[in-house]
Amino acid sequence: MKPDRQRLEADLLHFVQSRGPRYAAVAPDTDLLDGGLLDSLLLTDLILHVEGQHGIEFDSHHVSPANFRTVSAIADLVLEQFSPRPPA
Amino acid sequence: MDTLLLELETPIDAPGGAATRHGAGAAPALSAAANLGTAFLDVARARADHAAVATRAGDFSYAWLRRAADGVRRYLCARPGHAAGARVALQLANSPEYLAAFYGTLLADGVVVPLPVGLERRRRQAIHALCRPDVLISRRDDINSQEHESATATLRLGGPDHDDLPAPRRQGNDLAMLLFTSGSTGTPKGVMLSHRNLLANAESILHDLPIRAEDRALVIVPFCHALGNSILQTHVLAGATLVLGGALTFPATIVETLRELEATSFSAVPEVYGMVLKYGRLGEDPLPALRYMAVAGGELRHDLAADIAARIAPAAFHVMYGQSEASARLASLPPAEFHARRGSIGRPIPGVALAVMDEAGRELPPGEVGMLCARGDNVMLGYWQDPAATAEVMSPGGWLRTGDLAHRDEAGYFYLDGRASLLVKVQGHRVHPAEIEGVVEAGFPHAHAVAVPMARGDETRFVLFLAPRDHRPIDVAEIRATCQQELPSYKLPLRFEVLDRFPLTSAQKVDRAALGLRLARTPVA
Repeated sequence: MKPDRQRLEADLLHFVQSRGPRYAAVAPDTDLLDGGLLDSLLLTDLILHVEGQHGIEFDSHHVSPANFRTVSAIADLVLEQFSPRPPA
Repeated sequence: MDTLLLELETPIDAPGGAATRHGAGAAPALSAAANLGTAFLDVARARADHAAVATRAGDFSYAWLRRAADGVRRYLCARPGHAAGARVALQLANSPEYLAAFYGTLLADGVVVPLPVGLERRRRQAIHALCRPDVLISRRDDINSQEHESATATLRLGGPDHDDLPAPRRQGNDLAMLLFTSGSTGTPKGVMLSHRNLLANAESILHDLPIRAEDRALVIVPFCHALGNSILQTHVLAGATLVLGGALTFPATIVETLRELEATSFSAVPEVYGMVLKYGRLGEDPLPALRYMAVAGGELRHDLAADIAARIAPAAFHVMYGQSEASARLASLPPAEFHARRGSIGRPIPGVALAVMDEAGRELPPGEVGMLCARGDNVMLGYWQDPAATAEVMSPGGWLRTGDLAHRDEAGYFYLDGRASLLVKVQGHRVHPAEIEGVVEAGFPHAHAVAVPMARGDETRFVLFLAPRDHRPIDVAEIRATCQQELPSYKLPLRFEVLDRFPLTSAQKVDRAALGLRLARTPVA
């Protein structure tokens, strides 16, 4: 089922913020790549969390800097999986 | 200790600009040089217009690098009390600045102490206490704001050219580099590498791979680690180009960088190949410039290696073996032997002798498992101010005990049989974690298994950590059933824990110590 955007973003934010003190101040539009907040471990954890919560599966095309730059972008990516996308 | 911050001046060469891909001068022969810094200068003169470093933002030519290294040399030599053998710590990510600081230090007759950028404070303090560096060289991006505010000086790289560089005096067996690695007890040990060690190993690799002046090597292994350093030295001494770009966080960016910056080679540790296979989209688009990929710094499972080899063909896949104590590399498996010598680390590279020995130091015949020992000009001088630890691994005959168990076949190819120092005694039985991991991975190739010993009462038992290698879920019940069926009771893991991913050390290997600590924190039910 397509998740509600607000709840989805809140859930993702909570997941990232609970990573440790450095992450407490992360906001939906905080750049996770610029400050080096998103390392390969957090990325994998996030992917698996989202996949488990929403029954979706990311492939290598989804795992890109553009899609994981902010919590908001990750939410967009998740929601996209529930909408039919125009062919590229 | 003084802190020097390096800054780049803007005039780097734009892509396709002044630095040429096919510079005229060939790299000079290495054997004449006795100092790595001098060898660098010879190359930098012969290959002045060629790119030493290529990034997405532009190229840095050898002429630029020579000026930048000279800037660092001048700063160091001008410091009051500067003396030959002064330790210079580098806290720099892979960057043109790293190369400038490295060779600048050698040209100032200093000793390079490269440190991982993200090194935890306590460990860095321990290393500083051990080797007391005079200077720390870093960049704004690689240092925290507090340290950055207390910086003593800032140096803009790429100043005017001086042709009157005095030749460095240190050479041969003089210490060039102190490479800190984890000791088996968890305390840092400084591997002492001389000019001769580094030059000898570079020369062997240049012949073995071979590396050519027109090569462009993509490097994501940190230069502060033995493999990264080896890739750096070999390509600079060949007058070739180091390509910097891509990040392990997004493995697809590694493959993109390979394609877009036309890299001819890529070398990494096994864990990186695991990530690249999972998320890297390797093989989707052709990589016409790619000549080879190489794995070193650990064992890559044969089926994963075969997958990589198939995806990059006709480019070759090299399996290599080495360790920090040997200036990095010791053995190499020719790509043509990859399938015939399944699981082999290959034969010793030129200038290196390998032997399997028993505990008394006698060489064992083919097929028998013993301690893998190595001898050659690339074997370290010893551990920094630690004669006891040095004596444990270096025998009077010049043989280095690698700590790896191995056997060789009749044709002289070597095969690893586990790491001696990971041996665990369980009820009197000697067990190597690989004996458990191997059983699990044979039955469940999509699971990455790491067995970690755990104290239980007065005994030691194993906990098996599992992480997925792809999207298939891990069925703990099935894996437990297989273990119960195939393993004797003393090898049977007491507990199974599934992780999303394994913690990695700064060398990008599975951090067994961190998994052990995790156990110490969580009580056993």
